[in-house]
Amino acid sequence: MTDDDLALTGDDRLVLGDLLNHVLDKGVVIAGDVTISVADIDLIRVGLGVYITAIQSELDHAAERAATDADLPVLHPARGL
Amino acid sequence: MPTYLYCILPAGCEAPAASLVGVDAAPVREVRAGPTAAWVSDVPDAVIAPSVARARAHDAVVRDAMSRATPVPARFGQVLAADRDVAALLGQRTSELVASLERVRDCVEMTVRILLAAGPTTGPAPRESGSAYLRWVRERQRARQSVTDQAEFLRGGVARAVEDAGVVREMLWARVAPGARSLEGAHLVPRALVARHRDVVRTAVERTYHTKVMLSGPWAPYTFCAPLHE
Amino acid sequence: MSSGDRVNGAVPAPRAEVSEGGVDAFEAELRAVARALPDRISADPEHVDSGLARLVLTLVELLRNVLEHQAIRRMDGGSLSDEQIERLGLALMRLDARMTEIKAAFRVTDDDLNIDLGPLGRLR
Repeated sequence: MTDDDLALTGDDRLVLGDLLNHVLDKGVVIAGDVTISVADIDLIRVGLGVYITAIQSELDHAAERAATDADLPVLHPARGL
Repeated sequence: MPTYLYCILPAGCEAPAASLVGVDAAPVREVRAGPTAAWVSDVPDAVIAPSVARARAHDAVVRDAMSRATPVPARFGQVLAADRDVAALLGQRTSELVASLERVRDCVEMTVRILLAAGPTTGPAPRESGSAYLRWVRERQRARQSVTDQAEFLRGGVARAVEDAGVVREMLWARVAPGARSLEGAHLVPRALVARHRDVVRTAVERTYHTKVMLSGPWAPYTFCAPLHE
Repeated sequence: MSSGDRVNGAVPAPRAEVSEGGVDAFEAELRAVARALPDRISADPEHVDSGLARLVLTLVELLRNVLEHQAIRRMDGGSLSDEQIERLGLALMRLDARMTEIKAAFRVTDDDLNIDLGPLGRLR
């Protein structure tokens, strides 16, 4: 943020934060996404997506949580790896 | 000339005002294709670096479009080669876009963020033995899990409250990871019910669950729309 | 234009409404959004290295989380001897120390690695 933005009051900064959140879609997954013009990084990103999914399932198993998450819609449903 | 994409509206909506400008003060115009129309402007390059000023400009155009109808907003930085490519995109994805427009019709997005009580804290990691360290890791895991459980409980309660009051069309909640400090949700709220929705959420969070909530909005329904062009 | 569209009209500028006393807490979280900004600007090859470092470190952190979970499960499940628990704990402790060194060398903080994994949620 620029210094101008730091001068905003609390509520204005919250709005700005959410604005950036929505418009920039901050949930973009990994640093590799940015270097999308670099072919190598593209490949890693795709592979990584699959890998991360597998790891997360492991984590969920390990935590032994109830499987109600399957029914729970999550933010950014259309974006995903 | 590269064409920057702001959002999609139903065709037949009033065109952008001649004075409306977007990223880098470029005039905004529309491109129509069948039942949909896109609001666009010219930009010098295919890659537009994000900045706070540009992000604000982007959202301002989308918000202006909201005075016509609830749009399907594009994320920042969606640039196509030219207007004809925009028209082609609209043509290729017509049914999907029409469905999206219908999904969000007459609604706005409200961001709901509910503060979670901090879980039990674990001190610094012990270094004297592997067993002590591993036990400390387990304590930290339990502390994080308690926050996740709390978030689940809150989510259920707030979701019920807004559903019972009939003030949301849809909700999407962020997955709450261990150690999260707040529960975040995106609520698709009919325009006429924004004030009532706010009251219902605040009452539920503050009076029933005794914590704090931040509501921001109204926003265009960014969270409820798939990426337009990547 | 359907009659439904006619009721739209101007939408007020977005505002934030916060429960009393809650601004600081929420602000701290949203500051993370500002940190996301420099990364997105670094789309050029010169910055690939730091992006790669972050990528690799994120993977290792993910693995470390899984290893910790598995170790605790085994420990709680009673299938490990005291000696095995000690060895596991030491190995994870050393991994933690090594990660701290590497993060310092690349000037990467834990918050930098707290990358939103989209639908999969945050790492930390």
